[in-house]
Amino acid sequence: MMLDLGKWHADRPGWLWYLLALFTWLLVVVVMLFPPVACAQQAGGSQNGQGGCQFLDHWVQMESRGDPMAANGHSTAVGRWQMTQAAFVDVGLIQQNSRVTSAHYGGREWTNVTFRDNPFGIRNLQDLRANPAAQDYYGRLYHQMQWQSAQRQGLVRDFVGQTVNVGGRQVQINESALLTCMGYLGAGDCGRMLRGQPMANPQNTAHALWRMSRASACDGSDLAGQNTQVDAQANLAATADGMYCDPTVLQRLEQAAVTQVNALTALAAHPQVGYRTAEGGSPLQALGQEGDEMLRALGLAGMFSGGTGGVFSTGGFRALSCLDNLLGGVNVIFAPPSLPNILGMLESYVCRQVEGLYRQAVAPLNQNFFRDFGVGGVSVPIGVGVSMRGAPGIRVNSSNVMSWGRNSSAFDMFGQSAIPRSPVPTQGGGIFRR
Amino acid sequence: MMASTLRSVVLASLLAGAFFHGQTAMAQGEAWRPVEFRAPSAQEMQIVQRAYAQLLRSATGAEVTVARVDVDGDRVAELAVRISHPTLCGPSGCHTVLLQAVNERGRQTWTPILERRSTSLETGRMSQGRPSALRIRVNGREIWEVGPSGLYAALIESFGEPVDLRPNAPQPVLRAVLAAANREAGGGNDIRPDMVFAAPVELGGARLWLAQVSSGLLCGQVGCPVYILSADGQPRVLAQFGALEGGLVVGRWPGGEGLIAAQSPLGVTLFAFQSGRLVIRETTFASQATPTP
Repeated sequence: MMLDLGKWHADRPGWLWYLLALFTWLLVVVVMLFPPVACAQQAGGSQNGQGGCQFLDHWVQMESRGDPMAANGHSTAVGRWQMTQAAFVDVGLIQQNSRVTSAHYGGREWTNVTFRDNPFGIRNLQDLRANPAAQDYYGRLYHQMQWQSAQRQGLVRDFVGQTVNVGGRQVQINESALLTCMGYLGAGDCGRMLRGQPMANPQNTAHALWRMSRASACDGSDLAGQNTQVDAQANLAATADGMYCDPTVLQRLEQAAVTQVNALTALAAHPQVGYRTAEGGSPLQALGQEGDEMLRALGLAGMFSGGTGGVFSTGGFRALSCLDNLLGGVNVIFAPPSLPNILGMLESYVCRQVEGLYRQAVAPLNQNFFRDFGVGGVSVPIGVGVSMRGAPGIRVNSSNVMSWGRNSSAFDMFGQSAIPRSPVPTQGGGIFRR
Repeated sequence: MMASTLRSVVLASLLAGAFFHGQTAMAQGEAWRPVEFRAPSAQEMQIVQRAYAQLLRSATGAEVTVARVDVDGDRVAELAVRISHPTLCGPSGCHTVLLQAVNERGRQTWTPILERRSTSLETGRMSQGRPSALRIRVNGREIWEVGPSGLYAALIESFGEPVDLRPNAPQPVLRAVLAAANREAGGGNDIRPDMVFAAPVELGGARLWLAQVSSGLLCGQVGCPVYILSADGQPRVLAQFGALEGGLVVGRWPGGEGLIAAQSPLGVTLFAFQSGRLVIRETTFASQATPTP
């Protein structure tokens, strides 16, 4: 069946435009209130270098958001730099007299150490937590020592400026990325990972790569005295893996994506304002019974009765099989019951993931359904946040024909994504963690 | 005077008795209540199908059983779900998930707070923290408690006994550890003897040494290196892994192999050690060793 998919009707109802305008407005509000950039760039520091941040600022932001009183409940990491007892041993502030126990976690007093004489007059952990200047002094010293260690191990010579294949992921290494590798994994596993040797704790690889990618956008010359330019965006794309973002941002992003896709789907399929067959009527109407089934599957059935039906609800969105799969795929990343401890510690990834999801959700529409179809000058803007700016707008006009044979299904136009993971519903019908 | 002294002694005895009785009661009175799984109602099945649609589609004929229990003490019962299917079951049981009911702005949503393969699930009183919440025991051993952030996490102590690492390890052990650690740190002498904490352990029937190096150069945010050494006259490093300081426990797998539990920011990694080989057997978080469907 050949369909004239671009025919635009002047008698489109005002309510649909009203709804679309409303959605667009809501989207703008959402993006203004909860910009993904707040996540994606939250670890930034002073403006400098390729990514607008310095390594040391970046590390502090990633570890504690700059809070000198920060304390990790699952380790001895404290302060702006989240240095552990082991790190403070290295920089000469403390001597451990006995082993660490969980009684020393979470900022509780370090009864197992002796504080050495120091220029800051620090005599116990609470003194240390209350002294950000001392934290900065020891933090910088610690990372300098790590850089020197990396030099001694040949990691600087062998890997800075190089692209490393880690588990099939191509990661460009600069000073900042290497310092992050050392700080997060420690010298041993960092070296083993970069050299492709078996790691002692391979389960940490994914997060380490993600941290390195984030850091690679920053200038490491504040410690290393040099800064190697790398493609940080390519790094981020290569190492995308399951991390967390602020749940409210996620929720808003998801809702925004839901709203947009629903609106676009409705626009495309609506018998009065959407694409029409050469014989008149919408593509779905033209398919008769099959079209009705598709409409139901798409959550669009209510459209024909004059109401908004399910399409403007999340239920309608989730009924889109491919999108359901895409959303379900995000849950792989969360593995919520099994990764509770990293909630709050790992930021930002999901923002990008949702952006990616959004792009994935919309791209098939663009590619398979809307591509090259102008809409008589009408452009529906899409874009959620900074990284969405490059997302294509949707233009539909009257001069194109799309073949939609009986062997095709409504889902073909969206493409399929086989991500073997079941979605877990949350508020709004999505799958994101609270 | 005599009566006064006698009265004091009796009072002290009573107080001491009450104290020790309390201690014993705390030690012995760990009452675990089994979570009884049953066939789901239509509404419960709807929740499960929504949460695990793809999983149920791929595991044809899977049996779903459920139970309701309010673990977080918010008076809204969570939904425990067990999905039994050959692809979802193993020696440690079948895929079990605890979905937490959350009411937000009038809508109820379900979020997994625990996902493990299990044969049994039990609940008990929290040892500390939130008195209204329940702790969860998986397969009669693995205990999960809710933390200050409201998230459930496995307690490493439930896998065995903490290793009593101490400074001043015997010279042969120290030499072997320093050699390995300094090599790892770039070949210098940055790793000093006072950074090494060690303890003799029995693992899978073998006498060994465990030594952790507390050096910021070798430690990362994910933990510090731990070396497993032979306990003979010339100790040598047999294997290595990482654990957060204070997060190291040893025990025994049901088959008799040595079990090492190591805490990391992601959760607990369970290693099996037998005949000089160290392998990751399970993790309490999603990983290649413990994939979640």
